[in-house]
Amino acid sequence: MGMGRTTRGSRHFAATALACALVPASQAAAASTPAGQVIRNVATLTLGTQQQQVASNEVTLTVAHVVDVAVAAVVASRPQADVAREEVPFVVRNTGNAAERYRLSAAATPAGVSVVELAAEGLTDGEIVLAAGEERRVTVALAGVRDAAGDATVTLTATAATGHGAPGTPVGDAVIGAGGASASARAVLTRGTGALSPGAAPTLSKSQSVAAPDGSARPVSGAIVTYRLEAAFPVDTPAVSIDDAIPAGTVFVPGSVTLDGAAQSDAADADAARFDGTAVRVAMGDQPGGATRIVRFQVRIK
Amino acid sequence: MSPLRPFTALALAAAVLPAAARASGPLEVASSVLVEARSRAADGTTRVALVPARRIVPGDRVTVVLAYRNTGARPIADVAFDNPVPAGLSYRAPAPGSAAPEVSADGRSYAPLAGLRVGMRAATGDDVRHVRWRLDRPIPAGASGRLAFTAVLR
Repeated sequence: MGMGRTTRGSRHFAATALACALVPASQAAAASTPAGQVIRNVATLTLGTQQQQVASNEVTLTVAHVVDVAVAAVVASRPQADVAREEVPFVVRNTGNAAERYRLSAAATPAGVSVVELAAEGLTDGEIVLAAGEERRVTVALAGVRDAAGDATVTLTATAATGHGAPGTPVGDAVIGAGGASASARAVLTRGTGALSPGAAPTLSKSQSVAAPDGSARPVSGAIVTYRLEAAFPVDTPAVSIDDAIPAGTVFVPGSVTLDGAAQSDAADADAARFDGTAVRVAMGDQPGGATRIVRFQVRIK
Repeated sequence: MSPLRPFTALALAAAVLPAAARASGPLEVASSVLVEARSRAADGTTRVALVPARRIVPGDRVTVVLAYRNTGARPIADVAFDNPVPAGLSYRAPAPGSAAPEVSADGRSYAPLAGLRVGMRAATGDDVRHVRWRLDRPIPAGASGRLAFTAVLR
């Protein structure tokens, strides 16, 4: 969310990391069945005109322990503040279905920028414990940002202590979830260009809604995810474009892009939007101060 | 132990394996819960097989199967199967090849899912708490069949 890097005067918004983080987030919101819950199935048979009832055998299944995690930057991109110590907030969420311990690590670039502190409630020896579905704010403190050359980037990684790897991999009695049980998010602190003073930077916020084939909002295979990107421009901003890669595991819904409610074709043609096979790209041109533009598009979960 | 569930201990012992057929007079019925196992064949196609569920996680699709057989020498008429949807599962659809069941949100009024209502709105699979099949013709001696529905673990 927020202003992306500046390239030849055009402002590109990079919403990719956010898009990847959003699907697991809604999964957690759907309240996964807890690990260890026993699912029992018994059918009843009714026979004959006397309505004699008999139960079938019982089948029991125990819900496996899923280990997973999602990490998102609270603000994916913002201008640098001219201070000795920059603090960058992230949110780590337990997207599994049981309590889990996560090891946190942070790294920063370019050379000269260093991570001086990781702070989170309950942080012990670089680890936090989260209940199923719980999320916690983690703040990374950086030194050397104002003396570095150009933009500074900080990456926070959370890795489940139980194990991580390919989705579906068993680790003991648990299984690795769709996110691989290790996740990272990146935040960029952009070097001011002079054209924009802090506080006048454009902002980009992204939200989603999920419509499953059965009418629920569960992010299952076949569900349609509608993304809404709202870009706000406090001051005149030249040559704006928004690029948003579709998340892994989804398929773009052709013809679904709209700009301020107007349908856009997927081809590179006269209208502002196109889909290039991996990302939705909307070239909106110069934006007057005070403008707000809204892009919507849809993907289908594979 | 309830007289309706004399096989509970056996079923628990069998855990996730398809449990032994339950005899009720000459009509045997066996319940099992299967999951899709996908494997990639040499020709690049993906094959989907249904195997007994061993490890299920939220989001997994399962198939609940009732297999029945008339082991007697005479037809059996007026047979109905009612499968309460286990807690944690959401009903989705009849399994491929199975007759479509009637479903119910309250165990009293049953209808095909498309015609079921909850209060003022149309029901969804998440509302379904009972799945029922009523066989409209007798099961001939020696005949067997399968009824199945798919569900998703919440």
